[in-house]
Amino acid sequence: MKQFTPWLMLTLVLTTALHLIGIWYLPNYMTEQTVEGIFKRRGNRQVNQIRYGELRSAGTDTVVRDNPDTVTSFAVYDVSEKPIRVQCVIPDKDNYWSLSLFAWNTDNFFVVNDRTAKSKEFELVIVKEGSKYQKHRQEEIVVSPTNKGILIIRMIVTNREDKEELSQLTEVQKQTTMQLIESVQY
Amino acid sequence: MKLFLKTMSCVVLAALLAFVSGWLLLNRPSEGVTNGVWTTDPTTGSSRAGLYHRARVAKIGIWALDSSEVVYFSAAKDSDGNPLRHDGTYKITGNDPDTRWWSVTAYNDDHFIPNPLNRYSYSKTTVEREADGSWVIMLSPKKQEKNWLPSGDQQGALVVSLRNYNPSRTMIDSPGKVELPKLVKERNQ
Repeated sequence: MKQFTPWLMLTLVLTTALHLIGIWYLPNYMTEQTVEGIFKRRGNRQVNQIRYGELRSAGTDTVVRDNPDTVTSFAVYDVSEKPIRVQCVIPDKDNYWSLSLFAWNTDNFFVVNDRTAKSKEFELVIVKEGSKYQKHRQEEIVVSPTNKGILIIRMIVTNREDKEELSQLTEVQKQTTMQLIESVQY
Repeated sequence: MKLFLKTMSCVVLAALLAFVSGWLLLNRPSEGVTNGVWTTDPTTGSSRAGLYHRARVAKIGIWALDSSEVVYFSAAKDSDGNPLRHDGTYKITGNDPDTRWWSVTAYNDDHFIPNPLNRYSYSKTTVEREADGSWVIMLSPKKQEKNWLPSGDQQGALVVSLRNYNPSRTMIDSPGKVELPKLVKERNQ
């Protein structure tokens, strides 16, 4: 029995280590898999570009437990080289609207909604940790804990059968844009 | 050679045990807060979430918002504690939760349930109400008179999600104490 003890210990240590690494890594893996699914469905793999999504139905809901009552804009951002400016436009209705940012491990580290935003139009600059980016004008600076992350804009549609409401919201949706700030060096 | 084979056996066994233990822990029901048939976890979406809860949410509800923004409840069992079944009819009854906007959505294996109406949810703004403002949503595979939420005829895990956008402070702080809808199986089946 004694001769097996070191091997048993090795197996236990390895099991614990692999288990914890696997659980820790899973959210990053799920992000990669979900992003890949979205890229594949939309035929565009560009980062730092907003994709203006439509209402999803059975068969087009790539994301697990998706909300069928939201029009969603989505982007994968990468601030490793340069910061990103997001120019946001909030619909002039009382529908819930939010812009949220997620680290690559799925943590929601920033959210602003139509009631907490200072105005219906505002600018957000996403920078990496340690950035010395200087704030301009009224823009808000958000530090991303990971160089790559996810940006999601959700707009509640009060009735998905209402084509007019949908058309108004998608019109405003496309007014939100994002671009790398090329003139800035980290 | 013998040493190498023994080491490799340990590595393979450890990988297998790590996978099985991870799978079992992630498929275990959440240890969050319970309120009737509903469960939630106040750390969902946030950096306060533990290792296992973060992994679980990534698997079944990736990119969930922090509970200060949205409180997500889910129900996989009826009021008798039995798992929801696709062939059962369930009554979800209640009043508006204390939140800006809410919705009740049904999922099969975490995806929308195909149905001829393309109806996947009812919400504060789409539900047909009773005279007193309360509402009844019928989760069923068969067409219902009012507020029919199709549960389909698939094989798979049936789950109902209750989303609360811009929840009240009470719902954020005490999700286990707020009034939530009841989910009861119809007896005449």
